[in-house]
Amino acid sequence: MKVPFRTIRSLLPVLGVVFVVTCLIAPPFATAGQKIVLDFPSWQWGQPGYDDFFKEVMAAFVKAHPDVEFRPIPIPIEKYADQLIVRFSSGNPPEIMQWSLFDYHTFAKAGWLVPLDEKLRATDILKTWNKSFLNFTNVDGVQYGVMLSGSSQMLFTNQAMFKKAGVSIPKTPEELVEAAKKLTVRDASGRVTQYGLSMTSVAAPELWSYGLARWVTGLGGGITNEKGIPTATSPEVRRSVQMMKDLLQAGAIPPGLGRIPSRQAFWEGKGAMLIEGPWVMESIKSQNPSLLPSVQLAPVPFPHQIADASNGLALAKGQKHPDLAWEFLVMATSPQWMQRYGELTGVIPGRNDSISTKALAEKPWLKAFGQVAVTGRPQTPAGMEAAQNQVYKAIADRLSPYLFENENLDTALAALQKDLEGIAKAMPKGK
Amino acid sequence: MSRAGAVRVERWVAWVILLTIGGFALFPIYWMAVTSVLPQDSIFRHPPSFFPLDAQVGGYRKVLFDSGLLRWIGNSCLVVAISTALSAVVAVLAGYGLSRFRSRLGYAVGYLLLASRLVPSTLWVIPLYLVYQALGMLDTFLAVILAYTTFEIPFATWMMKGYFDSIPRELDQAAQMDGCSELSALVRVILPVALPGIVASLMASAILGWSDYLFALTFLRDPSGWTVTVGIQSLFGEHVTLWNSIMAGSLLATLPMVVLFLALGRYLVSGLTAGAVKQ
Amino acid sequence: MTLRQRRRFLEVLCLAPAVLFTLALVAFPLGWMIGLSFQEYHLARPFTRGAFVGLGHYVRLATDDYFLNALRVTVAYTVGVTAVAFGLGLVVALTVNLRLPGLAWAKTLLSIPWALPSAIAAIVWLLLFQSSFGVINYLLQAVGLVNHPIEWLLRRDTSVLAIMVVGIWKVFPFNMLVLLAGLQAIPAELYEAVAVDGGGRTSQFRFITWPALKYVTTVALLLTGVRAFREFEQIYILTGGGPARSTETLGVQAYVYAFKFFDFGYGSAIGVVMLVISLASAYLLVWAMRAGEFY
Repeated sequence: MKVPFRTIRSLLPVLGVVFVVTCLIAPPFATAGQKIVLDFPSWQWGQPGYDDFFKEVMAAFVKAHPDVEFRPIPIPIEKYADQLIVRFSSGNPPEIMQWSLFDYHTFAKAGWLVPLDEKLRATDILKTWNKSFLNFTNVDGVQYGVMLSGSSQMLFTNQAMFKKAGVSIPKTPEELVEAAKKLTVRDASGRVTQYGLSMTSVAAPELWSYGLARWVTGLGGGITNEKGIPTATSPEVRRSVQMMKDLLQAGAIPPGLGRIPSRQAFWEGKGAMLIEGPWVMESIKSQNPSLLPSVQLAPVPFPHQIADASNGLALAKGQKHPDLAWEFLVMATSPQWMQRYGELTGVIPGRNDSISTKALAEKPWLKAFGQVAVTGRPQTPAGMEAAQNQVYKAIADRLSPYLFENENLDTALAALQKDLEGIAKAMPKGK
Repeated sequence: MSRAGAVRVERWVAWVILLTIGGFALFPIYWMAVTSVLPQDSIFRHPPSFFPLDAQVGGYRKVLFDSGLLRWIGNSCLVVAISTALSAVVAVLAGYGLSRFRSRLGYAVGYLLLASRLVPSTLWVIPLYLVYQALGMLDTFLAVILAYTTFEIPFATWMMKGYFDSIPRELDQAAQMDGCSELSALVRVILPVALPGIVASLMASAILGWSDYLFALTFLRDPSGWTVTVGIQSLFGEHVTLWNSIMAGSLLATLPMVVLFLALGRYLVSGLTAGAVKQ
Repeated sequence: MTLRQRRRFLEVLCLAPAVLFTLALVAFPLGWMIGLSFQEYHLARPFTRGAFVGLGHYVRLATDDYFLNALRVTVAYTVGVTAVAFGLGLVVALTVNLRLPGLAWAKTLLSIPWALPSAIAAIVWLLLFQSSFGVINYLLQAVGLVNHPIEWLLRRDTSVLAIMVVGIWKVFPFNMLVLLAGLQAIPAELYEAVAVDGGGRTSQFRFITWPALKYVTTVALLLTGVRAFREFEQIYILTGGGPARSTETLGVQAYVYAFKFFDFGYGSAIGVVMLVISLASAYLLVWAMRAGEFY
């Protein structure tokens, strides 16, 4: 059966149209034109509070520099570091660089960020910034960024559940365990309907960074000591892991929850307690406001407070507009804008005493969180930040068989210590 | 057992098998539908509601009107349509070449093509990014379209080769004896016979392109150009996950593929017949 | 032009677009990755970046327990998913092929898992397998099969099972369609001939169905196997390679070493190993195809 030439000829115009359409859609999305474009990738675009803050700062900046245009690039948080690595490796760094707690050391060590000491001395940041926030952005003695917000931890409690169980707010680790067990409610078939303590309980690095690390830090220890030597077999680590196993076996901690589901369990009324940062209050407000009256905050039931930095701004090396980028950073970290940050996002701004009266009126819990931000200990592995991902993965790999299966605790901790020592040895030293 | 009895048992067994496997295949989809109509403050329910009486369309409303879902679906359709068309042209030619002229060069090209399908795309991303940057094609649909062809062409080429292999060469020869050159023999005689196979590899290519997440995210950073997988991932917030909207959007995002399936279904079946026809 | 030259010209014409495409978009990334596997390229060590280390990474791979573990996991996953998805697809294809009334819709409905993007499918299964609030545990307990929730993604044995279930779920429709096509091409007269000779369903399957399916079987196995071997997104979203690396396939490991541990040289070496193993396997399969089945 031969297809006549007529049919083939009639197809040609169709192909022609397809070709023309392809050419038309080929031009780039970036607006061609006279304006200077500043790329701003972030995982916070579209997030209430953070999105508003940056948009306001950008609007004010554009008023001062009418020839500038920002290009917000939303990237999901899990892919943020990956995408930045692709950009930096290809020599295409973003103008406005948001520095995340996840991989910050490596970006600095890779030589991708501009050292900021000189520039910072021209501002008041070094004197007015939260001291531990400044430590975060210090890599090998050099400042590489400025942290905008912190994550101080407090104990969230559901008072309705507490009253029903006749339990008072725990003040020590022992009381925490007891309260968690008492607050666990089962139905007729024995299935847990209310968990005493909601917490990150997956067999992944989050298990440590969003869960166990807080307990260990609260007890006064860490996965490394101040000299950067791994301390996997230290009493604080041992005790925290045992506590978690104990609570898991008692059914007080819901197994298999990632960090966001663990918070969701709390605000859906499935968990009586939660150890988290100030943003959870915002989430409760937006997801389940009827819970708010029952929520009461308390200091974490540990001898020490826990406070980390969360994210901030840095300056990418090799970009086209470093001066404008620096100016933006200075603007965003100025006193008035840091106050606005607190008002809009409900987290603790990096600048000391930046929680305005307006913010306090709308979000009274900021006072307590703010105090913790000053007194709290960081949970990042001192001395091993450059290999942070490997550390967290090793911890998850070694502790999961103990927590969720029947591995022996000492075997697990000893193996972990060996792993960490290996990682520390292989780490790049100095500059 | 009588013939009628045997047929009845057969029918019963067939239904049991289909319902079991169908249940396995469709339960997650059903669960997506249930989750998509749950209110935002009670996703973790006990007992889980299999038929939520408090179903609400908030999730759908948010994803349809507050997010760019329709635009994302449009972008995906555009990118996938063009990439599969491009891949089809290259694959048909190359598959025909591999099938009819079995030379070393051909097989070398064939295996090189397959090689690109054997390495995880995560290792592919940076060099491709460099290529696109050098060509100034970042943030264009063309970059994503070409990136999709990197995995569609190998897949489609091998499928087309197999399908051409099953079309007897006598057909080519007969057409040439009728006075056609080789090229017009290909276009006017072979291709119509091979049409179902072309449609089959088009379908498979389309699904490959529709599913992609990494390349669209990396090469098309402007939200107005997002494809549907990137768009839906953006609904995962840093602190809050909007499960109902995500499930609603995901279900809606699958609709175009299902529609395509329904439309091309019969071609697909006869198309994948490659080689089973015994002379 | 002689006939021979003409044929060569046509062949080049046919292969040219594919060759151009290959050179532009495949050869460079492939070459880049292979080249990188012979270099030291760690992001946090800028001063040794680009230094030639020859087979250094490969030597390290050969003695790395985690790499050998990943090899085992990948082989188990690939073989398991391919075999079961094929089996499932075959059963459904045979059933739908019976042409009983009401089965036409089955084809489309059962293909939906294939049409759902992997990233989304993985997230949905993550919800289903969730230990405390997931519906799978609820159903298992409600039916009475177990009396306490199974920690699906928290234990090593169940995690491997979970990723395979999701892998099979995703890919069996493709097998079903390929095999169904093959089945529907078999002329009905052949079946009737066997029935007349007194053969039942099993004889029909052994002597008619199975021989006719040999070609489509190889296509289905090759393409399913290739896909399972390089699977990354689905597994990474479900388990991240954990717990304790029990679900860390080569694809997952390459990503983790490159993007999480910032060692791109080592990650590329893993990629090259993947390439070699899968190319060799594909070549063997295709050789088997050529050896028997074409006229």
